[in-house]
Amino acid sequence: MNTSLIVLTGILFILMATIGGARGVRSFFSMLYTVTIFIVLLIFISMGFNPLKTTLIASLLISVILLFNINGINKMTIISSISVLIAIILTLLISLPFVKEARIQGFSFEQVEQLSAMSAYVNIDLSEIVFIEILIGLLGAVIDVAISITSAMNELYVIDSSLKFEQLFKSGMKIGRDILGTMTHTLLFAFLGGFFSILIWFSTLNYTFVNTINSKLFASEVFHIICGGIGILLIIPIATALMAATLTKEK
Amino acid sequence: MNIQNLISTKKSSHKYTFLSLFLLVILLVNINDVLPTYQQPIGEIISIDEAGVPDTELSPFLDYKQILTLKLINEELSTQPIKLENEFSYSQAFSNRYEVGQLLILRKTTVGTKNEYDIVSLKRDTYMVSLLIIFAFLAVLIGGKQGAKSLVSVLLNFAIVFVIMYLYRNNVSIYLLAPIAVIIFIFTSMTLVTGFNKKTLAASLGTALGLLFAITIAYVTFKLTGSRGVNYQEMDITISSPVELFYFQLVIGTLGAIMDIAVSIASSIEEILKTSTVVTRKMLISSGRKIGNDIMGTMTNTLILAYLSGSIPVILLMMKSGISLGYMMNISLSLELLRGVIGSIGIVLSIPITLLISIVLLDKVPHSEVK
Repeated sequence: MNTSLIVLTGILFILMATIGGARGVRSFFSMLYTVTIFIVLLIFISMGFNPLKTTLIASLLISVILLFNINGINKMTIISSISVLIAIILTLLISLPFVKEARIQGFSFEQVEQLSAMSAYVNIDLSEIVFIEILIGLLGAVIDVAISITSAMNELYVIDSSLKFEQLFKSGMKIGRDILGTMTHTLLFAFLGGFFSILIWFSTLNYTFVNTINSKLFASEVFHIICGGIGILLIIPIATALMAATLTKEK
Repeated sequence: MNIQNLISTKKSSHKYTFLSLFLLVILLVNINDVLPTYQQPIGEIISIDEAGVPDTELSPFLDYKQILTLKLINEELSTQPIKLENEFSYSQAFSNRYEVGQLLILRKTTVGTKNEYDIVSLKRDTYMVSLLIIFAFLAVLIGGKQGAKSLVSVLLNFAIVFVIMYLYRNNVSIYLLAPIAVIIFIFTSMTLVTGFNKKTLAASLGTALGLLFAITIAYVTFKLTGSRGVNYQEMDITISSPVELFYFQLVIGTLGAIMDIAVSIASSIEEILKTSTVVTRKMLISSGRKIGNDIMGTMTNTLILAYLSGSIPVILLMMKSGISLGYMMNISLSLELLRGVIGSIGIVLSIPITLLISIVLLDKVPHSEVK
């Protein structure tokens, strides 16, 4: 029984309820839903369903449940969900050639010992799974940026409904740019920890600088971070354009 | 209505956009020539013999062989192409199936008068650099100044990590390195994003305190439960002091998420104070809380998804090996879930902390409580 995890999750729940109130409680449960969808997604993939299609469906589900649960069903959450889907597909397309060529799938031979209990001879092509990893990794950040932009744009429009598409678009882009910095840092630091561990480990193995930066593990982390950044960048104009169009169409 | 005009702020910059796009394409196509060459021998795959590999479906349970013909491209004497063997499996869990045109880094051992070569790894730097350049391009195109700053911040933080790693390997204590690292990370990232002002100070203090509280809660919990549930052996690297590394990773990961919320709250408080002359303390607190609660949900999910993504291959392999879900959640995923939960605790705690600090630092005029 994972006592530490249970205790800490309990503490988290108390904190979210105390500080966040009802919203906090809903946020807590949305975390549980996310983890559940995640596990179900992997079960489907291991059963043989097409990894990419199932992941896109799961991503949409996660966006929808997360947003509808915490923020309700409204233009902002609907537009956000659609923009997220478009943004992650675009990110995938842009990064596809590079990630595929770089062969960062699976594990590196340095990890063989740890994984000796399991067989590597499975009928899953891990080179497809790389993209799943990247998508899931950046999904949360992209959803966050999308809802921040659409909410703020909505506020603007509520205050001044004479705003035209161009003005709304410009403002949305500015809002996105303001968030860009901190959101990139969130993803960056989440992966940076693992990155640090890899560097330490490689240095104990006496890898040269060249070997380190060309290794599968290192490249994998780098790609995760860069693709995350691209995803966050792409969602900005997409969410802004869709929201501006939706708001101005309501005349 | 010109889309380019909407994205860029200068009137003539759509010309610059097209020019830079053109340069970008040229750079990417010639990337191999632009990067410095290495001391280690590099071979280019000029042909592959896959005689034993069926054209149709591969069996997941076999190893297949590629015979690669490599042309050595950075040896001084012009040498004959060499042939090397490569094995791969369908899953490519521990192997790669190479293609013609790819470059491999080799290791040369001289036996008598003959040179023998082994494959060290695929030369991956070109792909990373190419995508990085595309990212940089998008960062400036879509993100403008803030995009460029984010880019610089990413590179800077990477560099800082390298330096910390180097110091750690030279036996500088992690208990000394960690706080210094945290301060440097916060300082660099914050000043880049929000400038050198009171808002940044408020956000930085909020971050530091939130981080401190979260890590303390984690530490106390681990001590009380005897670290039951923290399965250090599941860290997918072997290192002599996994506990230190785990805490350090925890600190770094949590830091990023907390910075985001702290900046959001501090910025909002500053914005409200700037634009409104009649706001009371009570209103500030309630606005700040609302903003925090708005972000709380998506931020915690961002963290969880970022951490869980890394364990996808391991989980899939486990599912295929018939390992139970319970075992997975309790043992293999334990570290990721713990990081996510502790990070979330940090996020939630930093909301009231940053709020209070922001109000104290930024609100200079005393307000009456009731208006």
